[in-house]
Amino acid sequence: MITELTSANFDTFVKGTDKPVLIDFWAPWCGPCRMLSPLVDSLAGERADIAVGKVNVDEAPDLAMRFGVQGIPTLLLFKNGEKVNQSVGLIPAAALQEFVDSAK
Amino acid sequence: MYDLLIIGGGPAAFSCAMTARKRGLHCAVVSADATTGWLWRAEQLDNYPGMPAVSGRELLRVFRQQAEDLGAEIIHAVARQIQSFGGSFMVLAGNDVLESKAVVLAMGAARPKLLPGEEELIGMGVSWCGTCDGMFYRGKRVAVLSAWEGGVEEAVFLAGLASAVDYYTLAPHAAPDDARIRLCGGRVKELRREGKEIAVVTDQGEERYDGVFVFRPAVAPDRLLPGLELDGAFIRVNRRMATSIPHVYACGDCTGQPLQVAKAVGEGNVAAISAAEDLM
Repeated sequence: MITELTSANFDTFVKGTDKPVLIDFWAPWCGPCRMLSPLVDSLAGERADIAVGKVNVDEAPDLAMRFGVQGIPTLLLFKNGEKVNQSVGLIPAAALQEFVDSAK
Repeated sequence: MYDLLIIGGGPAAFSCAMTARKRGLHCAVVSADATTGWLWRAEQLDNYPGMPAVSGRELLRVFRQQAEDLGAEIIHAVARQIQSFGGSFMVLAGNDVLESKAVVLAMGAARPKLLPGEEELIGMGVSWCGTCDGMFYRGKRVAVLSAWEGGVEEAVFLAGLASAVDYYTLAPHAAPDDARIRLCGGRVKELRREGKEIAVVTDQGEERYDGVFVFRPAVAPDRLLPGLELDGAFIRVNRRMATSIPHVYACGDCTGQPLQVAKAVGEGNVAAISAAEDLM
């Protein structure tokens, strides 16, 4: 399952679990984001050991600014509420798995 | 969903498209710009069978026309990235996402060379996508570094968002003619992060920007499709023109020597036949 996030629910979502949390910063007009989305969706379906959220940077530019996002797609990985990793640009499925596993 | 997307705009790509159409495949050729290839500039070829003393430009025109007449679609865009997903492929062409069952790489032997610092700074002030990342530089100072005329359109787009746009050419092409865009001279040598800014270092000095956008007409094969096995600078293929990735084929100069039109055309034909067999 994927949760749509804005500044209203972001902190509760990221801090409210002891699982690694993957956040996908994206926008509907961004081609590489549209290619990454199905991979993130599929990962969210396969992996019960992580929580997955999405931030539409059009709707939540404040979150993009808060985390210094300057290019999309950007993936952020959180553990216990702390940012532990970041990846910018489209990555293949295997690299996405590795990225998520880097929180362990 | 296409059966076959062919990346490139030279003899191998058009030959592949012709045979793919004859085999009934729904296919498109994704090509940024024919004028950046060496064949476009070749004054005369004497060893291509059936067309004596033909210019490179004329040969390309005839190949393209023949492919189009057979029903191949031509998509004018840079193929930026290919993603394999669930038994098919997504190809990022410009900012559009195309889908296909198989892919043929026929992008020639040119290897775009990145600037020192460029890759490391992606997402930290450096971007390869104006449409994606322009909004993060609203009201800020940006530089556009372009190796081809596709950068002009991007610079004009960015001029609508940024407070200032400086334009550097990485390879000769017609520069933008827009009062909002300042043309800068000097050969760009390096990109470097300086605090929150990016320094564009040229042989004439350096300038600092909030953001730097870099545009090229082609992407190196292993960056286009991560995981693709190479053989030195070329794509590893077998006699069927199959690469290390199932349903991905390569043909023409990108597979290695000799860099000849006749060889490229033959390989394009083989790649299309292999794809048609494997998709059956």
